[in-house]
Amino acid sequence: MGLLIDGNEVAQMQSHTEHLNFGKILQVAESLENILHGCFGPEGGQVMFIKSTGDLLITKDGKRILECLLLDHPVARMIVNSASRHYSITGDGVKSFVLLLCAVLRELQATADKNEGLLLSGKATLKNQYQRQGHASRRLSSLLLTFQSRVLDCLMAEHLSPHFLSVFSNAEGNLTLCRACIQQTLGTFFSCRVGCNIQGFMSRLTCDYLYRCFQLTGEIPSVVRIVSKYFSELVTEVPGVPVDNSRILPGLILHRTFSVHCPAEGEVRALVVTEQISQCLSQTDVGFVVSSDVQLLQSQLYLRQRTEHIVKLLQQKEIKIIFSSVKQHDILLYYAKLCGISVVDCIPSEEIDLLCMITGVSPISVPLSDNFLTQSFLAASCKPIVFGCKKYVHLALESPLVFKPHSLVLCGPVKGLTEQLVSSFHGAFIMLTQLFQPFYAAQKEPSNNVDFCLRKQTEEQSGSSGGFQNDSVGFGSHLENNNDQAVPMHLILSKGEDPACASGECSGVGPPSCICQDTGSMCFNEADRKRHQELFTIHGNSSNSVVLTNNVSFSNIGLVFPGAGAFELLLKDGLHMFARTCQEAELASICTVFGNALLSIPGKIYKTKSGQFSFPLYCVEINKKLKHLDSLSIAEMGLEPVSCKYQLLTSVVQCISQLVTINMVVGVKNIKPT
Amino acid sequence: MERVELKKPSLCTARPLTSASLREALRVMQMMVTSCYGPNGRLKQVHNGSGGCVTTTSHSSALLGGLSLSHPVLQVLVASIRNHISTFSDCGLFAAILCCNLLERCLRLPLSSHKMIRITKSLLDVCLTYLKSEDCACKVNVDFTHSRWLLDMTRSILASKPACMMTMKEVDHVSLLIVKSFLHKVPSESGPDRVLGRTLTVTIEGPSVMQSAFVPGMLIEVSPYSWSRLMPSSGPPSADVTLALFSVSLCGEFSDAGDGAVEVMAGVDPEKVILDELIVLGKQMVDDHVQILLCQKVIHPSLKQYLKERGVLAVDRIGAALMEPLTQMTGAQPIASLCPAPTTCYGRLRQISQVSYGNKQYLHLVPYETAVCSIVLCNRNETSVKELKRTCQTAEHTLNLLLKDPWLLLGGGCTEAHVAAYIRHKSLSVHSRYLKELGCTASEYKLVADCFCFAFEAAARSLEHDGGEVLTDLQDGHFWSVPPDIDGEHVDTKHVCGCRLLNKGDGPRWTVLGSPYEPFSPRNRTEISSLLLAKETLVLDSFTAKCNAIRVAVDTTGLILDVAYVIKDEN
Repeated sequence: MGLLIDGNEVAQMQSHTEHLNFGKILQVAESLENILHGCFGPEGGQVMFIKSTGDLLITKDGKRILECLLLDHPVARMIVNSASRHYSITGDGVKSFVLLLCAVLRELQATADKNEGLLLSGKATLKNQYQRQGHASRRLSSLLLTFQSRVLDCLMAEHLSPHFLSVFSNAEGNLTLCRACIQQTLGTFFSCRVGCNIQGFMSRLTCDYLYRCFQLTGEIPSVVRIVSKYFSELVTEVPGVPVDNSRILPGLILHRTFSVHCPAEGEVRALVVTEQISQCLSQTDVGFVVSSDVQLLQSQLYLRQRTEHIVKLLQQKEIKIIFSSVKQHDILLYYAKLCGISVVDCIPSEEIDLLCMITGVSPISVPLSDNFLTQSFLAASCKPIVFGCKKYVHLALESPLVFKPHSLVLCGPVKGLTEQLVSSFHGAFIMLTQLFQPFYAAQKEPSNNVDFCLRKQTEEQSGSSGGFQNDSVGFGSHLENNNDQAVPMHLILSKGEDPACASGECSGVGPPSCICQDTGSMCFNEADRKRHQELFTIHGNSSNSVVLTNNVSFSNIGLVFPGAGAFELLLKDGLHMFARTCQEAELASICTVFGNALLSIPGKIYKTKSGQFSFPLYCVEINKKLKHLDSLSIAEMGLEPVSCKYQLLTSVVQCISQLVTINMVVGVKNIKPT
Repeated sequence: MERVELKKPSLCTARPLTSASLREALRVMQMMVTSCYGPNGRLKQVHNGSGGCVTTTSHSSALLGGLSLSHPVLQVLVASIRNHISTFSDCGLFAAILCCNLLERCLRLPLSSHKMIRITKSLLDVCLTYLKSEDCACKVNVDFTHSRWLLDMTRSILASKPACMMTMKEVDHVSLLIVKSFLHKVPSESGPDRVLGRTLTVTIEGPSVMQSAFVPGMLIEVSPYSWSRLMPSSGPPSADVTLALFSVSLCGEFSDAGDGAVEVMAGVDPEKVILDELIVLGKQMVDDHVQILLCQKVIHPSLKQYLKERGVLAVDRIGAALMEPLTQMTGAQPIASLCPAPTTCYGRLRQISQVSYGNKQYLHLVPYETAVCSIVLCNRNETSVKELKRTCQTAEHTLNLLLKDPWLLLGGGCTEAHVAAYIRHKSLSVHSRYLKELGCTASEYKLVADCFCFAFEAAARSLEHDGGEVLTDLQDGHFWSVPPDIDGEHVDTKHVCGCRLLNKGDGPRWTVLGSPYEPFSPRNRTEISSLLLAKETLVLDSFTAKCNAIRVAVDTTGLILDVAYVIKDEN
């Protein structure tokens, strides 16, 4: 069957087309920005949604807001899709995504207006206006991608990596997680996600929860992944109780109540089933023929006795609890009550999965096999528990895995608010997963542009460059370290590479430093940094004792950066500096555009605060603070994960490069299948 | 078939709090709850325009539950107060008044909403810390060796609902019943598997309130027509009764055949098979000397006949609600199979008798232990009996809360006036480091503290509905209400304050509650503790419920102040 489109349909499709140009895209993006800018940043307000069912939702979460709007325009829907994809990786940054997108588009528009020949006009040889425009947008799109791969990555590696901080601290040679850093990172995350009066409480609660769940520092990434995957089973929502009553409980909370409860003290042995234990006369696809009265009587008697026998067998083996994912028959509940076995049924299958994963058992099948006891597990206690006005089951377990299961009970005055707390908790753990993943910026060498490499190296080694007024002093001192230690660092990341190419970008991530929790002061001085690096170099040589148990190099995990716009300001300076010396004019103008657009984020944060300074003075303040970082200024500025910020930039660049290549929107009629 | 419609775009309202419609809606809400509050409050009639149930009430659960609200901000407010009521059952109207007043005053302040939220939260902490501290001068420690505190509190709750239409004597009578049932409910020794008993309520329309009674055990309603059919010829069983409880249906239906197909060949009669099983079961009951058989669902008439002929009383259609109290009361285990049951499943009763209240007949089951008991509530008409039932449930819930937190607060508006005086005094001297943490100046703090205290005083003032004047004394900060026809100065010395703790002696100076006065530090606990013990009857409120109501009100205000946009889905 071919695709037969008659002329009528073509005409209809043509009536639904829309020519898309740059201005239109900008318009659509700005309409989204209008809604989001009122809730951006720590001082932003919340949005109340009234759904068509009458339910209320109160949220500050950008993703929720965008998804609840019923958007018409396909470009808007594309932007929302990209933002949601970004959220699913980093757990945050949807509002920043939209704001940055709009700012870049505005700057591109302004540049195109200023100098006609450069960006948005195509080859002059193409006569057709339409073709010229198409060529221009394709060129812009590929320029943007080049910009990301060549410029952004390198700049991250050189200009920004000296300022990276690590959430890990090493005291006496073993790696521990620095609690103050994690709490600060979570605090910055929550300040943009929940209301101002519960932000501190939520970040403390999440930090507590993280600390209780893991045992060894080396296992943190896998623990965070598990929590992120099973979060809806680990969190219980309780509307109607004040937020301050939220707490953490050891063990699991099953969101069902006991069907049969026989109180038992101490350790109890439990089983998991996923099918009905008692049997009925007939089952699906199996028929039963009754041929005489006696047969009916005897069959029913037999079925009852079978159930009784199974339950008595379980009682003999001292099983005290049965967890079932289906609804069990009344007759089983009756016999279980007689034999003193508690039953919890209708448990959702995801909770059963989590339970099986933590305890390492699999569900048993009926009829009982001889060794069903191996599939039973011991629980420290299993009791009913009441939150608000609902009853749940609280199971305390000893887990052989690295994950010590804890449950989080989140309370709020209305249901709309508890939903927001649960989703921001989930977002926090997605962010932590991203934080604890290795950050490989510019691992690969730019293969085809050795001059480019060398040019940058000579530039840096000249030390200061014109106009780089902010932290040339600090930069210089970091640079010396880089050049001295560049060779050993290199050995860790790519073991057999040519050490001759030890230029700025190959050293990749610079030695991160950390704020010591004990002393409360920054170990940002030279001696500590050398010590840091020696630790990491030991790992690389592998002949000496290895500090970490697994082969993950902890040098590029857990990297954070001071917040409050410091990242954007530094990157902007780097971009401007690069643009000044770049040979290719178009790449330089993209860099300038991006650099200017980056300022919009700190600008928006600054605008909502009231203060005596103007915005340029604010930038100077930030730069000063960066030069002399101590724990007090960190507490004011906050911390953000580096990989999330980097991901934001790449997502925005990719989204724009996709958007500019669209020049027509065609409405398609829904063809009914015949 | 689904209809595919073009979806309408959502409607976005920016800055909803400044809109006039919200202020108007808040004002109406405030007027409504203020006019219902307290023992002199006015009643409200809740009904919808298309027929349906009409409720006349001043109880917050019935009132707020029956409203349909258009403004979303009000929906949030009512939702959060209804959540509070479902957990604590009391102080719903108080929370609503506090929240509406606080919101209205805060909206008029020129501060940014984040600052207001932070400052109100810190004021809330100050207030709750004071109430929970040892030397709070408006709370009473409940001593369970005397019943006077329990009676006082129950009396205050019952008297605060005018829709029950009871005189003081009737209030005393009913509160005595409630406290009696509460004391029966609490087990006399503590242990790991001790559970609280239950109180069941039976309502009767018609007789006067004085005919309400406390009945140990359970009452099962039996229609007079079926009474004679039920009762075996030997009369009801007399003493030491054995009881069997069935939770499975005994109606003889061949029901649980499973998911597949069951083919019944010709000549087979499944119903007869099951009926034979039932008769065998009945025979076993008779052999085990069971005297009464109770079934949650229906009993087959042939089985009933069989049992009646052999002197066993069979009552069916009890319902799921009574199964658990029966289990607790008699020790019987509900039998869920037609197989012969072990004799451990049977329960015991002391006595069964027939009683009648109003024009209804009941089967009265008297157990050996009296953890489960019933209260029969009578009142003249349907409205008042429903309100009485609601109020009794509130009182019972509040008494249960006392088991966890044995404190009570002085009622009658005195706690609110006292707390307002305390906070006004405290907010004068705030540490500058604390102000810096909050990020505000001292005058901004004082502005918000004024609004906070104003809301409390407004809540206290709403108790006065008859045009009188509301005064407060400048020594303890209690609430004094003066009838309209008497001048403020000429009140005689027998006049008591709202909670009846203090007499009007000479000495303390007076001012109108709500007018600005010189902040003073109220007398602390040690100075008035002797008064607390000496007084006869006090008006008391629940401590847990009131603290939570204050917290809910302030949290909801913070939530509403933080809203920047309202987006409505128009589909």
